[in-house]
Amino acid sequence: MNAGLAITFVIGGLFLISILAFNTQVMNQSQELALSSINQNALDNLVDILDNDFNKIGFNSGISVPFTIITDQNILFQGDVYDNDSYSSTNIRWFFDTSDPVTSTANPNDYYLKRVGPIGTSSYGTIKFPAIYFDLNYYTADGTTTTDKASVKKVEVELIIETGAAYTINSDNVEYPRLVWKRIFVPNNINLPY
Amino acid sequence: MTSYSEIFYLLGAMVIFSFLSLNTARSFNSSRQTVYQAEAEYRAIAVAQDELDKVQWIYEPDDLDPESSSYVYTRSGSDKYPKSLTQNYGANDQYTTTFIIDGTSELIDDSGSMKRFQVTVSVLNQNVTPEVFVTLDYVKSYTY
Repeated sequence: MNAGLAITFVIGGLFLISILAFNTQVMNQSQELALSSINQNALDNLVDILDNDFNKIGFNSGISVPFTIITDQNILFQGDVYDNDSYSSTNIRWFFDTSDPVTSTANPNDYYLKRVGPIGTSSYGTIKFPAIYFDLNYYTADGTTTTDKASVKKVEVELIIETGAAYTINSDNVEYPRLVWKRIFVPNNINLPY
Repeated sequence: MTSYSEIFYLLGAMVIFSFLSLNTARSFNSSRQTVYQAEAEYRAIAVAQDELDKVQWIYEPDDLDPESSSYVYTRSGSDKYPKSLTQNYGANDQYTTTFIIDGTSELIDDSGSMKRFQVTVSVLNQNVTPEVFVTLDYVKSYTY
């Protein structure tokens, strides 16, 4: 075999391998970016609804203690969360349902975070969001953790979500882009100065 | 001579290819950094909103007056600003981010029957490069 031809094969082969490796890297990074952006949008939408609901805890309820359930992953409260619907103050529930895994995605970690409440001008029902972690903490006015419904003045919501699809790091390892978010809500209607 | 020119062609192609791949990698890295910055900014905004929520429940105008001894954004004492806040995330607190929170208040209007204070809260996250800095304003009014 001609030595020149053999060297050309080797150099060409190396070149081809580097192009293929580069292509894989570009593909992975594109996937990661696309999935991260999708995840950010999903979090943004979810936070909008959480913001709306939690800031309106007790609104128009006419009662001093609007909470029915306050646990780590389950909250049930009264509030008029959307003023233009046919409901006045009604029950709103947010809970993380670990008995209901998301089966429509490849991600093995996600479960449904569910919101039960008004979902239209005259309809009441459940909407659900994939999440991997949802945690609630309740505080008194001075920032002490409490389990007493009458003493709750602040509600801390912590949320972690991952994308349904993964990007590949190597043949044995896939990664689901993850986002964490935490906020302490101080709803006006449970903090009135009288 | 022919074989030498082929080597030069090959070298040229490899140099061009490496420039292209470097630029692509740089571009992706910059996009990824933008995404991470946006995520860090999102968390910093939540922290700033928490801080402004506290301002809603300040009932005494003196607490927002920089000249008063009860000024909440004091620069001295154990409760002075800027403050450092470490937030843990996750079931086992496996993620940690440290924020530096600062606040100022300024009397922007005193009509004789009403005082208006502009409260500015800024949050700095130094866990990412470049640092994320968020500023939120809130106007609080008191009638007297």
